[in-house]
Amino acid sequence: MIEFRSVRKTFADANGKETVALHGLDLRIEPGQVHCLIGTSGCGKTTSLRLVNRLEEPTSGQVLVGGEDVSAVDVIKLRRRIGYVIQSGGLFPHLTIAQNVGVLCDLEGQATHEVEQRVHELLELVNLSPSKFAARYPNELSGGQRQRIGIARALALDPQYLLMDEPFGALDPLTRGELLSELQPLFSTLGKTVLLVTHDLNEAFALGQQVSLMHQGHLIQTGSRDDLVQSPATEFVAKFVKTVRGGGS
Amino acid sequence: MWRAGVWRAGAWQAIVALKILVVSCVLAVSLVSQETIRIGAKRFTESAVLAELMAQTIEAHTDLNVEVKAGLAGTMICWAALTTGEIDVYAEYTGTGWATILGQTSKITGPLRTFFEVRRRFRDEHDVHWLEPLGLNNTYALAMREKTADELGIQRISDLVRHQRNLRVGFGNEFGSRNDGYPGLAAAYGLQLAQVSTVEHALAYEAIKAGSIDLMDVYSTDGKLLRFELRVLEDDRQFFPPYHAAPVIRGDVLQKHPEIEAALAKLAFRVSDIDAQALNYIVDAEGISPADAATAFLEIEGLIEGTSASAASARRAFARVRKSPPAPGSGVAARPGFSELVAKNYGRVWTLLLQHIGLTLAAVLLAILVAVPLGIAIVTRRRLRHALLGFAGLLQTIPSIALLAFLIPVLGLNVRTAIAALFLYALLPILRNTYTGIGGVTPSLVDAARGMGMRPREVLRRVQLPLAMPTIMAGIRTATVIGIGVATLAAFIGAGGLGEFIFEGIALTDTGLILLGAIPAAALAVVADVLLGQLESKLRSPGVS
Repeated sequence: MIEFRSVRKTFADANGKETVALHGLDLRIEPGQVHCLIGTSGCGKTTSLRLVNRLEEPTSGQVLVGGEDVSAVDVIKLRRRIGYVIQSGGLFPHLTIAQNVGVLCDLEGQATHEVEQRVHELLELVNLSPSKFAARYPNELSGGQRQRIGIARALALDPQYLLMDEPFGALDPLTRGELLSELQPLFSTLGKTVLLVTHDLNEAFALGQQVSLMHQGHLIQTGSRDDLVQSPATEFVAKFVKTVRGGGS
Repeated sequence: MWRAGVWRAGAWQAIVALKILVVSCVLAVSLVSQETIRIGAKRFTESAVLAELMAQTIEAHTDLNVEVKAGLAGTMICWAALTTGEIDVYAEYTGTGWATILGQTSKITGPLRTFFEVRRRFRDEHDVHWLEPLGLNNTYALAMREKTADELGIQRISDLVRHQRNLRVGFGNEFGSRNDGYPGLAAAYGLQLAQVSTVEHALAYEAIKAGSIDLMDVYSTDGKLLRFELRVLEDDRQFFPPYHAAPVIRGDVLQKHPEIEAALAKLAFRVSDIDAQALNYIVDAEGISPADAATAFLEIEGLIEGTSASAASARRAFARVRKSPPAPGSGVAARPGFSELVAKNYGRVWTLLLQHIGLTLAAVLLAILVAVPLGIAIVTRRRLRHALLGFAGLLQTIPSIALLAFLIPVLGLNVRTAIAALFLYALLPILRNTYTGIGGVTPSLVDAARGMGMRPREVLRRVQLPLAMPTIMAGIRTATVIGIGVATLAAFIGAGGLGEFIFEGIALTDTGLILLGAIPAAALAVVADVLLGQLESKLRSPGVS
């Protein structure tokens, strides 16, 4: 379970002027649930995500992971319990695919053959042939393949939680659809608690059991696809759902 | 065991016998060496030639053995060697005796007055005796091209006043600023030269030959005066202090061997300024040894008998130069060709090259150890960054000679000073490139690394350093190439390296010698750059292109 309790976050710019990114966010993500944060850019969704693995610290309020206040746990241990996937995968260009996927296992001090075995499993999990890909470098891979590796890497230490920041943002629609249809069963079999940030409503509806729509640092509405479409809480929700559905596939 | 014991007894006897033999040999040698007179020479051509002249005269006219100890660095070292008994005799100049050894700051004029005053003081204060002067006066002087001097009708320094507006003048640093140099001279003659520039002394000869200056300061017995066909202007107001050369000898040696004085009296006033110029010339420009030059002179002057075969070419060279000064440039032609020069100095090129590599390597490695961590530290610390980059940039703007001059009082005249200067120059490129390289790593990659749970040092080691490596290596390459260039200046402070050839070449106006230092230094820079480039592409991951 991931929980936000009255989380407020402000940033100061170079001149010391404050801007509010989050005005007191309250949100619960149930265990095993895939929850999507959606909204236009600057709405605070990425900030919310980064508060979970403490890439940002809240100005006030609490973020809890598994019932523990994240500020009370060792940040390294916390992050290794939470997989992190960013746009384009965030792969290290100087490392091979195997090294990218195995880097955390290596840092955890696992023996070489254990790491190799784990990398093998993970590549199979994301449907990439280990013998074909392990020794390659990220620049030899397509965008979709890179994104799969990014996910495999995030799963390396078998974390209970997964944070995904615009994971499909850089992919063409065809690749995105293919990857989405593969990921849906993967998430449900693995039983991870997933928090996913996207600006694409179709993606959110395809993956998320719950979708939270944010706007200008406020959470507007949380609910299932049907909730948002059939009983939008505000005019903004109705408009947002309509424009996206109208323009999308 | 028994057999071993017998063997041992035999060995002992042998060792004892050997010891007795060695000890008696040492005693015999030291008995003989008590009769050996040691003549010192400072580290320049004329001092070495005068030492040989004195040594060979003493050898020919007494029963004493003579040994020359050449290459003593400077007056005070030579003087210390004399007073402590390391050497017994050397040739000193009256003006140097007055100002440097006696420490007199007042001006003294008149060759005779100076000689008698210096002689009296040395005798009374140090029990060191000046024998009769050799004749030459190696003082400061002003010189012009013969042709220009003829055209303008200039013979004496006071003639310069008429042309003071038009003459282009190049003075050495020291002469230009010393009280007994130009400032004093100007006052004494009422001379106001309009166009005075400062020129490194050795280069001024080339400048006057090329016609870019008309007047320069010289030492009056310099061999180059002959090679460059220069006229020494008469010091008609006797402004320059006299620097007459004479043998100086310790009192106890003189008392025990009065025959030395009698022998050296034969040299009194026999070596004129022109003789000294010719002797210096054939040693500097024609590669004749100081010993052969001295033998040739003594034989020609009839001061020693016979015509030794070994000095034959020296005799011919001296006679030729003395009779008709060589045409400009002929000295260079008479020198060995470049390939001969290389063959002759082959061993030394390697030694100096290794020193050069050692200096650069030590400095660059130290700079890497300091600048890479600092370059990492300043990525996140803005104030420290401005301070450090500013400081390193400032260091870079200090001319290398000035930087060496600043460091000498702190670290002394040695290899450490040279390494310190090279180190300071290497800092900026490595510091700046480390900062740029680390700071230039795509932020989302650092974010991914942190977000997945890498510790700061793991992010640095696994992500930032490998990705910044090409940039850091480029900084190290720049630092190394700069270092190889600047390391030629190490020779300035006696720290070795290929600069030795370059400075010797400049001092002797020998292009071949300059090239002998410059070519390997340039080649070294190119090779180092290529090797570091190869190392970089080896270290670079195939995933980053």
